[in-house]
Amino acid sequence: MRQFSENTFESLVADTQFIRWAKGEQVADSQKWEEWKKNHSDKTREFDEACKAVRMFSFATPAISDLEVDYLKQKAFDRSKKQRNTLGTVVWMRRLTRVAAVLFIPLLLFTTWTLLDKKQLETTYSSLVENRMDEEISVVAPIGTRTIVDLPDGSKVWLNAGSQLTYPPIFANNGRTVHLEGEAFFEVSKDETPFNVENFGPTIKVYGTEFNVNAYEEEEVVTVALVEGSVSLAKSGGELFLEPGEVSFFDKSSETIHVERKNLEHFLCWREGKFIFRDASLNSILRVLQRQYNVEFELSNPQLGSYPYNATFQNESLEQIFQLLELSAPIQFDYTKGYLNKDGAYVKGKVRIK
Amino acid sequence: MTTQNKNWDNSLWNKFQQGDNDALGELFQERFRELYFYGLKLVPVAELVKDTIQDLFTDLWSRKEKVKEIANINAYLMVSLRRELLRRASKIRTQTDLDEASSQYFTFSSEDFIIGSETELETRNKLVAGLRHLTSRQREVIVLRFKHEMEFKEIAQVMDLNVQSVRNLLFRALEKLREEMNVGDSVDKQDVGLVLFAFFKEKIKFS
Repeated sequence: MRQFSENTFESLVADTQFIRWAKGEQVADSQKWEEWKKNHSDKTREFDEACKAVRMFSFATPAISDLEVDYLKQKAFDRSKKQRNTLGTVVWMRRLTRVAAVLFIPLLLFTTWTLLDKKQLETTYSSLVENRMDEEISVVAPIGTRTIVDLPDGSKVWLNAGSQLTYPPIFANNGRTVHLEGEAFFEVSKDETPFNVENFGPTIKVYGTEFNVNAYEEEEVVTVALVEGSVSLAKSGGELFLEPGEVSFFDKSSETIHVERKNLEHFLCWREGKFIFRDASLNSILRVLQRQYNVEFELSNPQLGSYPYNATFQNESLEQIFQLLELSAPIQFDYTKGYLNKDGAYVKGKVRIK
Repeated sequence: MTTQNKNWDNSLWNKFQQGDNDALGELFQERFRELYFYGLKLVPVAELVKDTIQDLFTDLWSRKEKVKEIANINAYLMVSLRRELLRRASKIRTQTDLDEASSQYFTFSSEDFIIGSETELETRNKLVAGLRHLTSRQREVIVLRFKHEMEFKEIAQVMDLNVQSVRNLLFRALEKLREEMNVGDSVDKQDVGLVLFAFFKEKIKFS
């Protein structure tokens, strides 16, 4: 007996068309397998066994009516319509969530930033108010220079040469008080809180805006020239109000004060580098020049100092000013320019007047 | 009972892919009994199997974008049904139940087979007895091949095996079944030819 070919059997079982045909199902070419059997007479046994194997597994399909299948189908389809609707809602909600998330991030950042920033500002402010009120700021316009100072309340101050303005970093609610040594022009911003200028003369209480104060330590007289608004000079309980166009002269030694209506130009022109002197002693002119040009004067004869002058200088060099003064009076200037010594220190220029 | 070939399935599927909802309805009617049979062999809870099959189709109807990715609907349905049924069944079973259950997959009784001229009653009883000696996976591969007429490639997908393993599993199952069915058989009975797979015995004799 010829050996049974397992391969033939397996290849038949592996052929789905064969399984269908063997089961008795309708296949495209049912003749094919009849012919195969005829053509492979040596493999009849394998063929028959494969057929038997297939037919043995004739599984019965569970009994379920066509009607039930139709019903189940319809139910599944109806559910899909509902689900599609909910799916649509879900998709829409998901998109909305995404949009919300995208919008939420910058919102969160912005809110956090704002809160932190505000908190930081508050902290900075309160720490400044609490801890740094006593640490006052001093701005100095050194000799030979002018400076503009912006105060914390927005007020503006022009500082003339050799002047110093001291003020707190933050004005407290009970008042804006600055301290002046020298000359300054004030442009005070409007505010409920009073603005005071302490100086060598009476304290200036500011009710308006623009005025000039000349209060150098070395000067005998403190002058306040009011341009606009209203200021008062307060001294030991009394208060003297100035009107625009008026200039107050306070004599430091006698502590007396008088007010005059003057051409304010003379008191304000320093800001443009201009100096106007009317009936001014040589000494007072020399004090201005000392501050503006950083030189020292030496009078050979002290009496020369009281010589009265009328002069106007604007952005002129020291030498040019000397020439002008020499022309109008019997005096001579001997000018030694300032220089840097070996140690790098500046030695002031010296002017000898004969 | 399947009288259509696979091409028919695919033409319905292609129609549905092009937007014809009725085509999927037809496919449902055509495939339902097979899926139901297979499902019941995995988890013998009729309502659960019906629900799961319906949900598979509901899903296809409502998620059109997913449909385009499915090339082989036959394999897809079997793979999905198997995965989803086992998942759902695991929820209603305790762990000890599960361990027992896996050995109960694909158990058969004589009611599962058609009694016809081809299969004699005695053979069928032997078959039912023989199948009990196979593993559940061996029984499953037999069902997938002979009942569902799935190609080895498709079975590999469903059972998560490679094609060669499917072949080996199937032919080893048939061999084991033949051995079990022939226990106690006399040579006479072989001659009668009622016992199937007698050739295996001969094969052993000759080899």
